[in-house]
Amino acid sequence: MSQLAIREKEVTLLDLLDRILNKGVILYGDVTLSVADVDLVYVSLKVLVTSIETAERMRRTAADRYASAYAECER
Amino acid sequence: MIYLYAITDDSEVTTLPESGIGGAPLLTCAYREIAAVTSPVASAEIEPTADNVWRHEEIVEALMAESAVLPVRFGTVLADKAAVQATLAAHYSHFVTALDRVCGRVELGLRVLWEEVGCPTDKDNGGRMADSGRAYLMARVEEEHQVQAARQRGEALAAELDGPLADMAVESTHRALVTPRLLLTAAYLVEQDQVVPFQQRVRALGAAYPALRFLCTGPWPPYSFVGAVVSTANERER
Amino acid sequence: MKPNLATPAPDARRPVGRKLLCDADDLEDFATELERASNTLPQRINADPEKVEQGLAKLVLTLIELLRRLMERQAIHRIEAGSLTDDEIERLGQTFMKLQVRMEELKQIFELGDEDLNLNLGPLGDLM
Repeated sequence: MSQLAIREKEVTLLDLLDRILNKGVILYGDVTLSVADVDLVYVSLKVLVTSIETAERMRRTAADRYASAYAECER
Repeated sequence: MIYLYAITDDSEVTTLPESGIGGAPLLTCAYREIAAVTSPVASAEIEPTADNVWRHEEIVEALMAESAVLPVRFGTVLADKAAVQATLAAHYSHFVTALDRVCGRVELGLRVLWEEVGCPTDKDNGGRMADSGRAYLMARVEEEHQVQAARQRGEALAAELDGPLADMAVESTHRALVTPRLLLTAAYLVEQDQVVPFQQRVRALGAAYPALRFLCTGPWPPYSFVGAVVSTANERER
Repeated sequence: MKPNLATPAPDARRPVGRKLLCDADDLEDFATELERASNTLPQRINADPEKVEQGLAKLVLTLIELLRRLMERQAIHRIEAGSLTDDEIERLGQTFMKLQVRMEELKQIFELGDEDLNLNLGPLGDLM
């Protein structure tokens, strides 16, 4: 591949990356703590969005487990 | 887990590309008259390799040929189909509005480089060694004046270039001096039939400003014009 | 997620032909500036033991350099406002010169260049 073609690919990819990694529909936030564009800490808030039922089920199961664990301790 | 490529206004997408990231099959997940285009993935961490990124992009572009599309940011993975449904339901009216806004339109990108004597460069931060502390600081004072003046010139020039192009667009965004040499970075949402006239106007600008260098790319799916869905904490202003 | 930009095998299907307009000689410069602009993408902390030290050095030196520049800006503002004595100006100038020499030494020790420190005062530049 010619030098020019390589450059074209590179620039195209860089241009695409700017869009595809930073823009579009964003469903969860990523937090980068930075000062004057100096990235200090990167925290991914990528919480897998679960359906309401699944979340409820998980919560109830956990509550049940805690309840029986406390019950054990009381004895 | 479910990987998302785009939201489309066609709940019965008939022509899906062959396969998605990792060779997985593409599936639509409809909610009323909109749909999410997805594929199953094994992990929530999808690496942004050139291959994966291009695959994602190809799929979005194939969809765009048939219907209005809101591209989803790369790497978006949800837990399961129910979660996808829940997301579509939660942001339904926003998606419908956004799909309507981008329908029949494409995104064109523009970057302009400048090279000017006195334009802010990376070397402006530290002065040159001098004979005395005072001489050093005084040179820095002068340098700062020049940097500020160049920045103001840059912002004015960027606005001058953006004006005639924004006029041809339904919507646009622009930022000046993201790096010292990158005078202007902009995105324009234009009607399909305005792409060629837009290109011509960029050429005309190139001729009118011979000292500047223009890079116009596209047409892209409307990444920059989907509107905010979930407010993120990552609002780094430049 | 730092993108892996290793060029993949050429694929005729890929929509690479996207340049609507550009100067062929300038692609190199555009590539450089695009990379520079993208340096603000979040980066995975490199856990490779050989690189960890350099990664930490990069972080520390970036912060030191940031502080140095902010302090210099402050001094410049106060000179413009006329609130520093000649003596203070001289002493501050000497200190900043020494700091700069020391920064250069540290950068050399850790083999870091200006571009590694990725310092663009951006919005702070205006606030100051």
